[in-house]
Amino acid sequence: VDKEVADRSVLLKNMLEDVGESDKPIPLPNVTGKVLKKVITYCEHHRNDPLPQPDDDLDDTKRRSDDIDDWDADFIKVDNDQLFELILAANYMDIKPLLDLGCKTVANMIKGKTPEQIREMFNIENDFTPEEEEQIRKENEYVSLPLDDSMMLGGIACLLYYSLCIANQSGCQHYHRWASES
Amino acid sequence: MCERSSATDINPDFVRRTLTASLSIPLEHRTEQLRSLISDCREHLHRLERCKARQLPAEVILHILRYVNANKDLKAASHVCRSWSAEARKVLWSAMSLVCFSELAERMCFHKIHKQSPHSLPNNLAVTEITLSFSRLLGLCADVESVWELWGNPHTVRSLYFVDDMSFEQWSLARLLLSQFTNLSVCELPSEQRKISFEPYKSASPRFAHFDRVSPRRECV
Repeated sequence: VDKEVADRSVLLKNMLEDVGESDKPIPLPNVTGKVLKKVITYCEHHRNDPLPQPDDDLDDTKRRSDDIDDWDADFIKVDNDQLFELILAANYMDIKPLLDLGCKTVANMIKGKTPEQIREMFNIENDFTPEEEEQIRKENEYVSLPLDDSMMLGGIACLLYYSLCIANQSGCQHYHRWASES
Repeated sequence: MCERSSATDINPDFVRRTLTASLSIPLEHRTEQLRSLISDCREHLHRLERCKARQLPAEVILHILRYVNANKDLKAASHVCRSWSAEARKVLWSAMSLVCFSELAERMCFHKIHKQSPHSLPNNLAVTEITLSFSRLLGLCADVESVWELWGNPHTVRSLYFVDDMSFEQWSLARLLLSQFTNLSVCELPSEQRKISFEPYKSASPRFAHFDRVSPRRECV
């Protein structure tokens, strides 16, 4: 494989830099031949893309999953097992664009599915106890409730109450301070 | 004799129950039953080994779920299995909207509950994204300690989305307040005022040079 192609993988790039120019094969214990072939196809197609910069991503912010180009979309049309193998390989070999592509694909597959459908699709089993499941359901109810007027009023009431509590607390502190000073 | 289970629903609980049950039955049946249990377990293990989705490390699951932008899908993901759930909930709880008053209030209540029963949410939750209005920002900053005691700390916040525009005076006050979000990298104002407002800020602090970068906002479901 060309050096240019191998440089797509940060793991290989670093290994090559450590070893120096040589014809010795590099062992990749965690990647099977079939997947490696697929990875090489990807890297050869993207050999001329600019290498991603380490500071180029905002790690914690939301990202788009619909910006996959046609070649990539065609490339990633594989069965689920192979998809996950590709993601694992990309993660291991540190090929960020390929990892992103795989993750976007999985994210797109998840969209609009129920938990059962996701489990079935990816062959994951449910390891929750019913109590845990109930707890998560309750917890999820707190996230992003739709806004309506009655809730708004309730919210305002809560806030007022909360600020009263704060006022009360700080009032107490002032009182204590005043009391201890005098 | 205890009913045989298929290899699909073996869990430690089932194994324990079967083992206890087998102690109460005659010896010759016991061997037979244990043998079938072992073969079930083996089959089950084999199935797990073949399943690639289970081998994903946590950081890859998190990476996948960051591409899932709808809360509805994240909630579904949080019900799939334990390893997915922890990551999905991290993403779910990392963004909060202070626009909707009730949500703010509910989260405050919730975090109080959470403090009392810490086993439910993963511990390393970090709020990274806040949608808010100018008045909320004032509220947020007026009472820093008690707010951030409930929500983690302001250093994890990477994005702030303002829902209303600010006057120049408001913005100059906001700029002072924003300095407590030390890792802020995205800050959005709704209208073209953004361009006007950000100019003096950029020159004042090079850290905000890439301030007007736009990232997709999570849809509220």
